[in-house]
Amino acid sequence: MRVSLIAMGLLAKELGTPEYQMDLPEGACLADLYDRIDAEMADRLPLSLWNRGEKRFRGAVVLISGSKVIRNADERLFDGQEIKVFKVVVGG
Amino acid sequence: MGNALMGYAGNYLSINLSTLTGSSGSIDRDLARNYIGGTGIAARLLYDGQKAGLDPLSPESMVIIATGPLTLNSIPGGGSVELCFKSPHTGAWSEARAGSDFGPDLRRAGFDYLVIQGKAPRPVYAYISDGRVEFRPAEHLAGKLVSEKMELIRKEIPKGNSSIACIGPAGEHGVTYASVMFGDRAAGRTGAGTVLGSKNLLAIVVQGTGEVPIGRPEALKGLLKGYFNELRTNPVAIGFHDYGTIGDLGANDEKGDWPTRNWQSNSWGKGAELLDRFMKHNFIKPYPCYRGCTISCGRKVRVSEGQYATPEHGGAEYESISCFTAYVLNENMDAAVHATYLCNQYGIDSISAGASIAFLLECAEAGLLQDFDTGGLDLSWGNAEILPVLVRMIANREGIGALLADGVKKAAERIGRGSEKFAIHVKGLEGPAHDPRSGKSLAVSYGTGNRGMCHIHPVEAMAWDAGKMDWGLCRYGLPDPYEVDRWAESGKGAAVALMQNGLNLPEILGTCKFFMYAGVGVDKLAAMLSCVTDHDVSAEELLEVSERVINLQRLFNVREGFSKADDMLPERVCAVPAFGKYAHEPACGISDFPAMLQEYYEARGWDPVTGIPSDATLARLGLKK
Ligand code: SF4
Repeated sequence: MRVSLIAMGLLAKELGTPEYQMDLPEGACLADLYDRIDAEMADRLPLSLWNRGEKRFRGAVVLISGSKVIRNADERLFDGQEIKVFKVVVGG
Repeated sequence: MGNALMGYAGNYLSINLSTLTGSSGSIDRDLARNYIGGTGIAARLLYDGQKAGLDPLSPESMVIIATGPLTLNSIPGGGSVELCFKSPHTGAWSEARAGSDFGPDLRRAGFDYLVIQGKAPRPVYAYISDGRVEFRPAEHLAGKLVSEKMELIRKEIPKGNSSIACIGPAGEHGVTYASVMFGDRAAGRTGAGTVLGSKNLLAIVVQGTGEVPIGRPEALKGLLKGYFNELRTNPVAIGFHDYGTIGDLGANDEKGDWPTRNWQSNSWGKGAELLDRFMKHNFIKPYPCYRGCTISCGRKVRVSEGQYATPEHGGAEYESISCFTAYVLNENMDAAVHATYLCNQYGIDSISAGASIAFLLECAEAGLLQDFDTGGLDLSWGNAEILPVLVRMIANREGIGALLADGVKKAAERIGRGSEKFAIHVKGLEGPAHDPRSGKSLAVSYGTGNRGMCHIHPVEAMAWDAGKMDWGLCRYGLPDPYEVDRWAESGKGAAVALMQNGLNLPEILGTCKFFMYAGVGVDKLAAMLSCVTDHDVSAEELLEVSERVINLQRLFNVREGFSKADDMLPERVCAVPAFGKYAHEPACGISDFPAMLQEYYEARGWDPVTGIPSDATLARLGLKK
């Protein structure tokens, strides 16, 4: 199945390419997507954004699909899903 | 209902501590229209009611504790309260906000604001409930930590919703940056706790059962339904909830927005790692600072074991943690969490405390402390063990702590020997943990912030310049942040004036500004205010009120002797970083700050030579010198 990862706002600017297609096995979950990001994109993601050792975003990165926030590693993904990735400013 | 001032409790309470009496009065309609509430009404009252040059620690000095018409539990960010006074730390205009139920509860008790003057003959606390005030003896609270005071008070008041504001031992000992605590939340900066301590007022309790009249309740309900719905999927709201303010530790370090080693650099390279450590070992869960906050940016944290063991508490904010890590090169997150917890328990501002310690370490390194007894402490960079020790010493004004208890400006005056170049402050207020070298508009905000080098009002400049946020202000003239180069200096002055007008509104309306970050921008604030007060107000009109308030605060400072020279930044803050990621980046320095200020003065309609609001500007805003 194929999932689109869409970098939003500032993140799109920083990465240069706003949209990434990820092919994942049927029934894949967020943890599988993270494995794929780690394998294919990690060298383009800054240290503050991606934890290589633990294969996950770090800091204030928010993933939203439709009107649903995706947080849990075991969350099931689906074919054709569009996941928007936001890097947000939270430091007060 | 015909004569009621919609959106207001309708009354204020004047407290005279010298006579232990209180008297109430009605809110003036013109005051409410022209200044709305919060820091707006407070600026007018302080300017008119307190004579220039008054010692802020004298009995005559005023502390105004103010809410705004949007200070309601049902409004996004409506759990806010503002403390306004002349700062004993800086001598300038001062305001300190805290998120809590205190504001809404004060209005339920019948008052939109309190005016506190005088000095009680002995320690007291004020119990305000349903239109009345009572002064209760507080000798038994003296010297107690904040949580101990609150626990004792809770046993003495009727059950039910109530809120407590209280000072810690630091306020009683005259530390000039003592805070007022609202549970785990602080009105931290510039010494509100010092002023209350000087008045022998150790705490204020508010409890009420009244309701604030709402002009158009059904229309408001409709608006709120839509706003809260949008907030559910707003990425910034989710980011604040999931990560808290500390969530930017790594990103700020990376973009050069993390003052390090007493501002010698703006990056350290350890932010992401420290954040990971915090999330794994210290973070427990998010929590809201008032009943109804849907964002809940607060963090419940702890240190479960070891020498820095700390019970579960609300804390570990970005600013506090930065000042006890990067500022002092401390890599021990447990020690940072513990030290910031102590700041809240003793009631001192964690930013000024951490910044003062960083200053001390640099003075020690440079060999400038021969004339001072440092108590045998190893004042080396990165020594985590001294952090809690120094916090206690500051709060109790013990040993070298007494030197730091008045902040870096006064400490440098006492030490001499060129130490002033290590004292990072504007108008006497220590710098917070955002670095203008990597987002130049912040430089103008730091210079011109009426309370000094402040982490509340100027910080949006960095969020616009480097974070590309706009709060819906582009429609009112703010340049599109995506078209702006964060390293450029030109064009930033005018943008800052507009951002200040916009982002000061939460302080005037009585809300939390993080909701503006999460999409509740100027238009929505205007719409809610119109419903609450039953008086239509546009976003443009709101921005003008804010401009009026900023100008009035500026006049307050001018009257207190502040001038254009006090808008300048410390040399180090303009210099290319001495080490770190941006050490060899010439654009990461501020080359012509006076030109940036000039742009700002022009945009504000202030005299370019003196920095004082021109007569034409004052006339346009309905102000007089
Ligand atoms: S967002 Fe944070 S600071 Fe603002 S009201 Fe909610 S909990 Fe308090």
